[in-house]
This record gives sequence, C-alpha cells and structure tokens, in this order.
Amino acid sequence: MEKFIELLFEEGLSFFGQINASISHELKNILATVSETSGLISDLIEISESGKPLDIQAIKNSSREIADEIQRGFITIKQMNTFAHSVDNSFGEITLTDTLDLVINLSQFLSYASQVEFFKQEVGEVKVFTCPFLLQDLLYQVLAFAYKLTGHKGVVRISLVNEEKETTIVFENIPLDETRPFPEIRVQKIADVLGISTGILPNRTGFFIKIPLTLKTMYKRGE
Amino acid sequence: MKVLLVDDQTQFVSVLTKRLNMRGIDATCAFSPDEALALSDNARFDIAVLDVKMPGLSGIELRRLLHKKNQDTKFIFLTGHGSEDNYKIGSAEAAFFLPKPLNIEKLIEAIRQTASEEKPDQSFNDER
Repeated sequence: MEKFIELLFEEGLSFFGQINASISHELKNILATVSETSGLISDLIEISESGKPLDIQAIKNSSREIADEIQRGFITIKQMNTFAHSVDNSFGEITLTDTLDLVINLSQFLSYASQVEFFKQEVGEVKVFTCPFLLQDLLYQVLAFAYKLTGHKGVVRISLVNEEKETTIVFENIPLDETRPFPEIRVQKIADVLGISTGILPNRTGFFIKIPLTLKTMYKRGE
Repeated sequence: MKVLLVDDQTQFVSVLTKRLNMRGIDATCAFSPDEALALSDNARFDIAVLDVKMPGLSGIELRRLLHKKNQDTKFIFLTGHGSEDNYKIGSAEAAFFLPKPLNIEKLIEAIRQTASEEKPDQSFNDER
C-alpha cells in the first residue's frame, strides 16, 4: 500500500499534468480555428459592406467549419471529464475496452502519435478491478513508447486476448529497437504495483501486457 | 515579401493564409513540415510562421532545416502549448513567439517588425 501511495504521488501527478497539458493544447487549437474562421466571416461581411457581393458559399462553409470545431471541442471535453473522474476512487471496476478507448483517444493528442487500429470486436466485455488512474497511466506510457518506435506515419495494432487466468493486451506492428528496451522504468514501476507482467512478442512484432486474475478480472462474454 | 505558414491544423492555417492574402500579404500555407520543406525548394520565403507542435517534426526542428535551405528566412513561432522549454528555445531562435488563439493584427505587426528587423516588442511575447 505504501508503494502504491508513493507511486500515485511520484508518477500520478506527473501523468495528470501531462494529460492536462495535452488537452489544453487541443482546446487552444480548436479555439484558434474557431477564432480565425469567425474572423474570416467578419472580413467577408466587411468587404460586402464596401459594395462587393457577399460570398454566401464562403459564409456557409465557414459556419459549417465552426460547427465541426465545436463538436471536436465537445468530444475533447467529454474525454477530459471521463479522465478527471478516473481519480474518484483509488480502486474500482473498469471495462477494459472503454479504458483503452479513452487512453487511445487521449494519446492521439501527442504530436508524434501513430495511428491506432484497436481490434476489440472479438472480445467480450472484460471487467477489471484495479486502480483505474494508474492503469490509464501505464497504458498511456506504453502507447507513447509504441508511437516513438512506430513514428507518426505508422499504425499500431492493439488486440485483447482473454485467457483462463489473465487478459493480455497485445501491441503489434511495432519496429522494436534494442537500444530502447521495453518496458521503460516508469511502466515497470506501475506494472509492479498493479501486478501486471510485460514482455516482447515471440515473433518480435511488438509487445504485450498481461493483467492477471489476481486483479479480480471477470469476463462477461457475449453481454 | 513572401510568407510561409506551417501548421497541421489545416482549417486554421488555410483560413489564416486567406485572411493574410485579403490584407495584401503574399502568404502560402503548408499542412506539414514535409510539405513546407518541399515548398521551400521552389520558393524563397522571407518569413516562415511555424507551429511549434506538429507531427513528425517540431517547429523548432523545422526552423533549422528551413534555415539551412535559406539563411535569409526569418521566423515566427505559434504555439498552443506554452511550455517553458518551448518558450525559451523559441524565444532564442525566433523574433516572435505568439500564443494561440491568435490575434491576426498582432501577427501582421510581428511579420512587419520581423521583416524590418525591428526588435520585438515584448508585449507580443509575454502572453503564454
């Protein structure tokens, strides 16, 4: 327990800050686009007031772009809200696919993020009793590590394998680099506390993390 | 005066370029560092306005590559991040470091001052 609390302070606050900064960056980009697009509408109106015909199509396009950006903002704020509530309880039951979806979305704000293909159709609903915040931290750091190896033009493939005693999250299509061993120290520290094991895939196309039954994993297939 | 704007936020940089063009500034935009480097093979830009955080290559790294192609190009950085490190590096390497969302009149003033090599007015730089 002492180790867990230590880790929450040591790594958790840093992770919270990291996500906060990336979300604020995304929101600033959205506001910048809305601001420029509304500025363009004002410019077009000003031009029309000097006698030139009003470009209705350009106004319509700008209006649609603003609506799209507002929608992008809503989605970002929803993700921010879900993330913020992940610290409500130190321990709790989460749905693994939902947590992965959230972390993938948050990690996409990284400037070096690769594309992600998440194959979740084949698995049922996997419930895990864990520390939701630290699990998110671990998944985020693993994804960030994968992106650095894969590059922003690459595609990281993620799948889940339900076994009798554990759930394995597989990260594939990653060019491994011997000078950058997996897992990094930060990931290893969190994995140790959460009882998660990690490793390289036998065919060396990526790596995996195993969430054992000791975290009270329950499968609810077909629900 | 030719101005190159580089940002992966395509709608933002397209509209900004259009608005600069409407104000008589010869501006062109690129949606990625790769595109910016390709454009600068065929044109000499007096000023490049670079977003700091872009996929593949940061604005600060792109500045070094563009500077190798044309040592006369001057630089202005845009950022939505405001990280201390970026700010320090950016301030050292560019005339201006402007925060997003942007005030177009401040950008135009920054472009004019950069082109005439006036010293930056810190009021443009101090907002993070």
